[in-house]
Amino acid sequence: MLLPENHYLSVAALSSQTAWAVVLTLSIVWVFLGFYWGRKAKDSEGFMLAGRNIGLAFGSATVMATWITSNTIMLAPQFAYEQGLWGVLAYATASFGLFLFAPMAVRIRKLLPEGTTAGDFFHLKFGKAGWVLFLIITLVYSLSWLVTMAVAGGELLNVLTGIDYKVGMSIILLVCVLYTLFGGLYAVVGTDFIQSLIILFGIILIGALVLTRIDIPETHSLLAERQPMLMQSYMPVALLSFFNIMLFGFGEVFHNNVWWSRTFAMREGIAPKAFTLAGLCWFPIPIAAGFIALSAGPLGINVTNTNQIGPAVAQYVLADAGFGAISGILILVVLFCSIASSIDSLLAATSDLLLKDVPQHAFGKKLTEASFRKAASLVIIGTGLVAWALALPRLPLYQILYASGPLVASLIWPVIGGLFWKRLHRPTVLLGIILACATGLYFYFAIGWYTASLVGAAVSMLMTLIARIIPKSD
Amino acid sequence: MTKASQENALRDARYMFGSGIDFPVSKRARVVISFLVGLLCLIASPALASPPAFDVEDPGKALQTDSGVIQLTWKSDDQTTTPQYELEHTPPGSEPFILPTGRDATRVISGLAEGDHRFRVRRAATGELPAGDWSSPLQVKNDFVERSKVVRLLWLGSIVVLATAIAIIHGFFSSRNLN
Repeated sequence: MLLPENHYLSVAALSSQTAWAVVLTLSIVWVFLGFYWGRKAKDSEGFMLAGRNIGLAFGSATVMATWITSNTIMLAPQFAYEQGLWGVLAYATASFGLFLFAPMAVRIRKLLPEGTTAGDFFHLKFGKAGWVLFLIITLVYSLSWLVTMAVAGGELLNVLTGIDYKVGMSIILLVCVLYTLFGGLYAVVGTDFIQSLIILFGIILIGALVLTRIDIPETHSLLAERQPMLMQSYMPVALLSFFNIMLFGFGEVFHNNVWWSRTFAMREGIAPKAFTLAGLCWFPIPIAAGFIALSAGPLGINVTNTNQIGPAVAQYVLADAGFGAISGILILVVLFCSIASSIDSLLAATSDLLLKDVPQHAFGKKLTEASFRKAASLVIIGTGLVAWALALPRLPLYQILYASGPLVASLIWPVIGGLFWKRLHRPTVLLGIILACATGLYFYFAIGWYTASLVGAAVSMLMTLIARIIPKSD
Repeated sequence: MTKASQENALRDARYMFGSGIDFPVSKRARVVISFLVGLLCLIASPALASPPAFDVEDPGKALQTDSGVIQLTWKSDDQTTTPQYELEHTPPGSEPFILPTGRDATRVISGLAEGDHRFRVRRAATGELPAGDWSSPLQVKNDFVERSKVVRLLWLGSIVVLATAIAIIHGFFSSRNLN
């Protein structure tokens, strides 16, 4: 049944005491678990790759939890509210990157049986110049992802609990830095497992409650009357974003060390299954989150900030279902988990790159086991501090991340070519990456974000195909 | 209502009865009447407030969007403690409908059809308080990206995605026996 039309809502805040109690409890639990699991990490391999012994359950859970970022919870509803059904589907296509990475994982393990990072692959296939290009792109992307997560964390805590933005953002970053510092990938994978279960439970519960609270035929007719383009098959921006998001997802997964380090950390034969399973479990989550947002108008909710539409509708539906103060707590826990599960992975993967790749590929040196842990601590804290400093000005949530779309999309074809093709003209591939980044960024600013990754990927594809035809000079 | 405007209303009432017309009433009655008139001004002032106005640079110029999404905000000098608003949306070729926005003086409108839309806003009726006057209308023009451009980019997207998937699947099968 639909609610009275004069209903309106802003995200309700938890009481200050409850909010602090929840935030502190979560913080203590994650840091304790990080410390507990971190005892297993006896050497650098244990710390960076969890002893290369991750099984299917933990493997698929960590992949899924990492891919459920605050963007999934916040942006998927925003896409639904702004772009309708196509927007929801467009966001869900980000899971296709996980599906396609599954067969690539088989080849990665074969090509680099002792590999540690994605940087190893780029250095092997494209030399030092290719590795430098990769490092620049991946650091820009990873830092912007990390910063958007931190910004989202601070904003959410502020909206849901009234905790000051800077304090909330600092708490989330500090907690993730601490447990990654203590436990490395062991801690990240362990906490990801629990976090993925909490996120799944929360989303399913809220989605089911929305279903019980709305009359679907009436919702459909109201949307068709008042927001007709949300239900239309021809919705230009949504259609364009469909391929753009998909290719952005491909670029993110194919190049980033977050996924490569998990591939190296899983037991032999596990990675393809884990990535496929994670993709299957992830696919319905943005659809459920988007569906929640589509019901905002028919539920009579006044949307003042599309960034917060997901939590706003969830808060309303849970409160209406009689959950009272628990509704705020549930949303806070789910969002805290989704943000933490991405921040920890990014911290670990980015730190691994800086710890292992930079000394090895830039200076030809390797860290000794004795100096590894101290260096790891410094790098993790340093990465956290850089993210914190960049998050302080509270930059816009998704503009920064989308600007890095063409950069990561430019690496899709070089990764495919490098993995599967024997003959590849290296300078042409590298030129292709640079051209793809430049063209994609031009389209981003000249036409719109919904073309940037698509154009970047297309240019890179063309150049990589040419590189396959040109006789190899080196 | 703010303290300053309360004082203004009372001062106006005192002015009217103190120096304007000479009524043949006692001093006590004059005080009572002044009080009642002041009270009337207090109650009536929100209803007499000017309607809200959209927060745009040039109210006469239509706002443009190419995504079917626009955020409208408005300002009001309504002194009611908690004014609530309602937005009237007239889509192209359709009947108007009302969107309540509560106390928020802003709303993100999405799913707009192509064409010219008209919006007006007013203070909503709450309790004893009647609805306020409508604001001046605001035109919003939604022009989606050209269809030919969309089709070209969709073709490009289909080709790139399909080629990517084929390259990976082909690479996977052809590299199974490679080291």
